[in-house]
Amino acid sequence: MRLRGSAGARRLWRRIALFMAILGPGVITANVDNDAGGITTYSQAGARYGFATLWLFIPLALAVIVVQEMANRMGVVSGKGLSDLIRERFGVKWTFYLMLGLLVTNFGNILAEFAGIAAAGEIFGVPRLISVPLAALFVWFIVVRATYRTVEKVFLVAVIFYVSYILAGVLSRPAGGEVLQALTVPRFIPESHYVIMLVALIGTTIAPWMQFYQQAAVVEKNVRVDDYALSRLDTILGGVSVSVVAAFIVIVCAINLHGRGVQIESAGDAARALAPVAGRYAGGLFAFGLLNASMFAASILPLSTAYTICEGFGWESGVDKDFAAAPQFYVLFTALMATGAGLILLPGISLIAVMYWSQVLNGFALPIVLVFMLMLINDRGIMGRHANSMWMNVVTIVLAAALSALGLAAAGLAVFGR
Amino acid sequence: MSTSQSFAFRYVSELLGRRLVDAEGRTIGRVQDLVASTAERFPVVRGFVIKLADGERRFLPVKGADLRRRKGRGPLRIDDPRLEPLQLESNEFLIRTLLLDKQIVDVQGAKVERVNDVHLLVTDRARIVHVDVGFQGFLRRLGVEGEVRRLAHALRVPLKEQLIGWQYVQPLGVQQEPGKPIRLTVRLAEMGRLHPGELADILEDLSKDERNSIVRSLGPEAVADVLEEAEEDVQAAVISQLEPSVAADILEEMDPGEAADILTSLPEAHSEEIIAEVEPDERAQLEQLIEYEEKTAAALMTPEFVAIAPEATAREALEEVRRLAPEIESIYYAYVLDGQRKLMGVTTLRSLLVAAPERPVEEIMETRLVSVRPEADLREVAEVFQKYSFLGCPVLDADGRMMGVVLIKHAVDDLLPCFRREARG
Repeated sequence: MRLRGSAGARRLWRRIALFMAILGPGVITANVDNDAGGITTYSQAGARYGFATLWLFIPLALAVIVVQEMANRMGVVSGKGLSDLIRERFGVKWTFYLMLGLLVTNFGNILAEFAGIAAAGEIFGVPRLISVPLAALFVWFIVVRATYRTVEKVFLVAVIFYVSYILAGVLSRPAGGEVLQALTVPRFIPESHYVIMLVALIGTTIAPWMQFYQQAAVVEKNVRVDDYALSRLDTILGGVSVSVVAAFIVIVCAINLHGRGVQIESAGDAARALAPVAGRYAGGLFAFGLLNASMFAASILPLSTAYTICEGFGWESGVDKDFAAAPQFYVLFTALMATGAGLILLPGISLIAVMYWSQVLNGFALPIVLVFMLMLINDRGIMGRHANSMWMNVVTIVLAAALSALGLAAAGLAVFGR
Repeated sequence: MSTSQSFAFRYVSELLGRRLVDAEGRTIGRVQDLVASTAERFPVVRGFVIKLADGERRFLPVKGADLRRRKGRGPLRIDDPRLEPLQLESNEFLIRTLLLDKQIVDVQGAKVERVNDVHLLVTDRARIVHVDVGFQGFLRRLGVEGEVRRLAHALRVPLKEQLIGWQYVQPLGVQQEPGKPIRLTVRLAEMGRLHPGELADILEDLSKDERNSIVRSLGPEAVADVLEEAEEDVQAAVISQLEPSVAADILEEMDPGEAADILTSLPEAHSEEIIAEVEPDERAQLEQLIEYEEKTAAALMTPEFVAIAPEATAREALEEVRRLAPEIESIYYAYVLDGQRKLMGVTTLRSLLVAAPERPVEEIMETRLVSVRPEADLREVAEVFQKYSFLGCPVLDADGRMMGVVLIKHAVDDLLPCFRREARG
């Protein structure tokens, strides 16, 4: 179909069509991070502090955009994944230890996602012995049997389901003026737990695996350097949408749970607590959102981990190859899924502890990954004229330092402060 | 110590990072890279890139160092060290920079591999004979090869060496000079020996720059052959990353139906840039094909076929087939068209060959015709192929004029699901 009209309108239409073709990596990566762990943290923030953490979400969106933009730019310009570049530039030893660390960190995240599936299932009355294996099989089949393009479409649909949180927010009828003020005017509560909460919110929104995933996805998409502006728009859209959804989760919990003395330890708790107060629909939407987010992240994380490690070690990888061509890839992917789902089924395992420790690991791993990224993106042999400019370096180094400090602080507080 | 030994094998990883000392044992610097020359079939190591104590890089000719001596990680002695400024000749390359940790094409195995180590044969000179892409090379670089090997031996797990002979190695290191198209740093002739289908698989595994440099060095005709063998997303990936004029050259060499398929799979803004660069006569044809809806006979068909006038003789018809054969995919059917390009009949190559040379084709052609309309869907086309076991099926417009042929070899991927459904139903 071609649209008739002025040349300007036609050009605009074509830009939109091109954007729709490029859209994906940025939006998907950012939104996957509204996973079980993230939703839990946002729920806790809203229930405990009301609107008092909302102001954080605008700077947070900016931070997501700056970090993910670097990964995105490296993918488009070099046409190579992040672990590819690390291997080629830093050699076997650095790659090996980094991949080992990433494997452990990502495995923690995978466990957290299956914990989220178990929690969401239980709200709907499905025991985890049924929901978790079923979800794992479903995800495994989708990823192994489908092409990258189909998988990406499924993921984009999953992103749309995050609207359920916005719906739940609207159903809670927030006062517009109050929310707007809370979003724009920073507030500070001099209380150590409030600081921990801020740190946890940041730690859960930017995780190391995101940079590896987005760079790999943008490479797979074959975005041209000429079209980079549109690809950056995808990243910006991702950063903005992830923060909007997160802010709505905080708003829902703030309106319905704040000041009622409800103890929220998991996202499941939040959904259960919401049902009697905010009505069945808001609670149901909340639980559905959690299920969707956990499934979404549970399919991306093992896949991304398997890709990243195979790439770094020089093993064949990719869902379009069969087992004989890429045995390490399939063994890794399947093992991560199976052990992740299996461990969650062990009786007596604490889902909250699992989610919590996975975020601690993220906090430790993030600064290391950021240092590698900064070194690579300043390498003109790789990036040419797309290397970071002076002011971009200043912005990113300050941001990386702040994120690292906060990430480490979150990890430290998690270890000693609890 | 065995200086009398006539040859030895060494790995590049054993040399990198080694301290170099002169005859008096004074440190000169550390080995950062090795310079090799492609003047001979197996590149000869010409010297070391040395990092001096002050961080400067210098070239040190390999003469005077006996690489055959096995001394573990200890310092390497050079008797008469003469440092020179580091400057590469056009036929020289840096072994570590070009090969170590980088991807290469294994031309024999038709695979992309990552290099863990480089294997040298040292006689009076050192030559690159293999690259190591195996797990053992990886362990060696990690510094745990010996430990793991002992462990594997104790557990009776065989550890295999994976070495690829240099003659089968195509390095993918890319040179990017401002204003010039990117090209491979080291080019070997072997790439051309790969089957187009194998090359297509390899292109899929490469990064953008590597892919583009190979595409450029192969030339548009060879790339067109490769792309016809490739999956749809690889086709789109290769074409979309090329400059529009280069992409257009390749598409011109391809079957127009396939070329149109690739262009339809690209975003409109890109495909229009490329079409603008295509030669005018082929451009009109491509634009027409793109207009057709996907998954119809019109989209699957190729507009190129052998057309013959009814009064032509069998000999003339064969001459026409011979003339068109280099450009046209399918020559097994010749279609007999009247003055208005309406399809009158069809004849096979076989019946043209067995007919008396001066017989007009009108008399030998088959007039019971099977054809489809351009808007026919996949199912209809599949039915025709299944029922009549043709290799090609003509596509006629509403007035019976011939527009093109759906060839089963082009359509098979799209039609396969229909065949299966038929078989089951």
